[in-house]
Amino acid sequence: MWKLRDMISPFYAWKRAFEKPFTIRKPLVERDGPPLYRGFHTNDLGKCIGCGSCEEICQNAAIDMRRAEGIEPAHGDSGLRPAIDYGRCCWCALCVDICPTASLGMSNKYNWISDTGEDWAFTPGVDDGGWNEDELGYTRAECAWLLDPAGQKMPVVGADERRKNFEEMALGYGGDSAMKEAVRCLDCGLCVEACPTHMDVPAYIRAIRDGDLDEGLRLLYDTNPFSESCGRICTAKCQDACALGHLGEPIMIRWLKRYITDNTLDSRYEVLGIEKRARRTGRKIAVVGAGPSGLTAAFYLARFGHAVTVFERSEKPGGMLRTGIPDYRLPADVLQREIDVILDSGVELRCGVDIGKDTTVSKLRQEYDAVYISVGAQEGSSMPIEGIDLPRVLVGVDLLARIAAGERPSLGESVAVIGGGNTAMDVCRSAVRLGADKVTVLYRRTEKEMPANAEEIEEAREEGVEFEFLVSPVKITEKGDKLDVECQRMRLGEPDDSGRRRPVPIDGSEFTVTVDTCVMAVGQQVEGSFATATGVKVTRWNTFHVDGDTLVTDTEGVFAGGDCETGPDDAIRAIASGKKAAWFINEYLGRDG
Amino acid sequence: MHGKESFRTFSTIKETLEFAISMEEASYRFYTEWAGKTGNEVIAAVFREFAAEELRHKKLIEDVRAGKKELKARHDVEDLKLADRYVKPQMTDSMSYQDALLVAIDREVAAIALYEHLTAFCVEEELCLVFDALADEEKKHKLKLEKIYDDNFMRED
Repeated sequence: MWKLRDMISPFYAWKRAFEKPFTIRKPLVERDGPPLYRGFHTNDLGKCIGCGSCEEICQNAAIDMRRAEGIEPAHGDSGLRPAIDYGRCCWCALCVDICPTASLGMSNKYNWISDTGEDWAFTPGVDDGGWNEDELGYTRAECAWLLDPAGQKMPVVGADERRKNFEEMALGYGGDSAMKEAVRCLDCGLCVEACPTHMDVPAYIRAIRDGDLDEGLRLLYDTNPFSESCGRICTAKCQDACALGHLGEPIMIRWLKRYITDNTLDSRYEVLGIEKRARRTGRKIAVVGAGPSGLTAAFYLARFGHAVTVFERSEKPGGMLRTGIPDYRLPADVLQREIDVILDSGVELRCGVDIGKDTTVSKLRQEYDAVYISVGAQEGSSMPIEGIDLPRVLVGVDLLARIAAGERPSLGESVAVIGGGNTAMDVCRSAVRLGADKVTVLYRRTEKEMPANAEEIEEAREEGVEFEFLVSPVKITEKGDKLDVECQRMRLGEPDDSGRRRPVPIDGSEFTVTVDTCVMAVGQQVEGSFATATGVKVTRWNTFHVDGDTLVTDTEGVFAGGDCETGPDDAIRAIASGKKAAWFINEYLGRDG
Repeated sequence: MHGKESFRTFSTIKETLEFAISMEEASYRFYTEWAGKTGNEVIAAVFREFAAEELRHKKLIEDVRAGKKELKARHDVEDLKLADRYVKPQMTDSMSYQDALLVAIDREVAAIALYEHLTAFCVEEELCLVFDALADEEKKHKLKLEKIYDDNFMRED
């Protein structure tokens, strides 16, 4: 039914057509939000590592990780920063609650007017909305953190028990621990960049979560045929980069890798399709040195379809993994079964062949289409002090090699170990197991500067090893059947241009340590006589001179990698070199693979 | 270095600086000679580097003599004292980089000792300051070599 009001309403509206409108640019009275209001985001760029957890958790796809001017990618930092689209954001603060570094927060500002639509998406901390320094607003409370900061502990043999023998000390995760650890992973992938061989860590951790360990094993072998060994002894640079490590414990990536290999032993050959395949390319490659780098290269070259022969001077393959790492960290049978997988994939191994005596690199080059030199840096460095040649002054790597070969030499009751790297840790802990009552590590700098893993230092302490920091030996003399190690105390000098503080001797601080045995573990180097005898260009450190991108040497068809190219380093870098060499040797051979 | 040089006496700064220049030239000749003797081209390059460094030192002192630069001891150069505890290697035609560095450090130690000796027996204050400054320069050269040694051969020590 028609009403009169309906008829005149349009005309009523027109009455105000020429009046000033009531719309305003800002509210007449500005009001702050409550102190804990969840307003526009803030981001502490110094803390943010660009892990993208905020982007991942956002339910409205309001966050996009973008390059920000002036921020470069670095170890453990993607270089990206979150940009937030406030057309989508619902201010739920899940991004704040998951942030592993607590860099992300929310101001209590909710009012923002702009004439430009593009301003609705901005990068907190980079684009200045005027609230970056706002102290009010929402920051995550401890109880609201969506992540679990505590890692799963690896069950180990007690220190008193493990002092008695060389049995493996880490027992491995059970299924429950592995699953609890795997679900902590944020899937951010910062670890992939940090790993020298770029293992797809998030993917194999996901495989554990999915209960698909076979898939996990396949992923491991895509980038590392020494995953079982690395699951025990890797220096785990991935863990250093782990986003969770900033405010909690990093994901125990190394132990999760071991969990996969421990639990796929029976299906390994089947899952990986290991079989002696026909060499389809007709190309032959010689690898000199059966250490982690050489065998890794051999494995991937065989996968490319080439015929690979590995020449090894020792009677057994494995290089420093076998001779330099004691059984309590990496049992020889674990290493051997992993090497067997490589050999069973069609790699020929010839042990007891001394390149330089039995044959030469140039002869190998004539017989093979390419040569990869990966002889490592197995010679112990010397410290040219008086008394270094005395009978009970030993070289660390040589002692470890004897122990690995099954010898159990008596070092006496008291042992001094000189050095602060992982070799020194292996030596001092081995000395304990060989029955020494008092083992003392003498290191020229402080604990902070020690190159050894913190975990190794801690375990050595548990086993009773003592440490003397800022001490350097100056002379060793025989005193009856003992050794007098004359030492001098040091202080750290002022930081130089590089920021390093170097040890400076303190005059008049000399003291003597009397021991049965002194072991020098101050580093390793490439055997100079071997390096120069190859005829391949070497550096002043006797490392092989290569093109950093391709590992090719100055000799056509000859590549070099691993410790003999980089100088002494850890196993994972040697493995990464081997993988890289395989790729570029295959390229060199015309990508037949 | 040449111990008999320490018995020389100097009466002018110019004479002192010329002596210092002759010392740098002697070191230059020493390294150049060994660059030719060694059978290892890589180590020969190391000796040539050391020789070039001595020429730079010589140029510095020549600039001081010409009044273009001033030398003044600061007495704040760290001394890592590697040569005090390390046995000096023999010069051979097959020596390693590590040994070559130790030889170079040892030569700098000898040069420092010489200038310090001359400072101690010097009567004219102006000359003493020059000897002192030259000793300081040699300490800087030695520290540079010691740092190279420390970085390369004492990484785990």
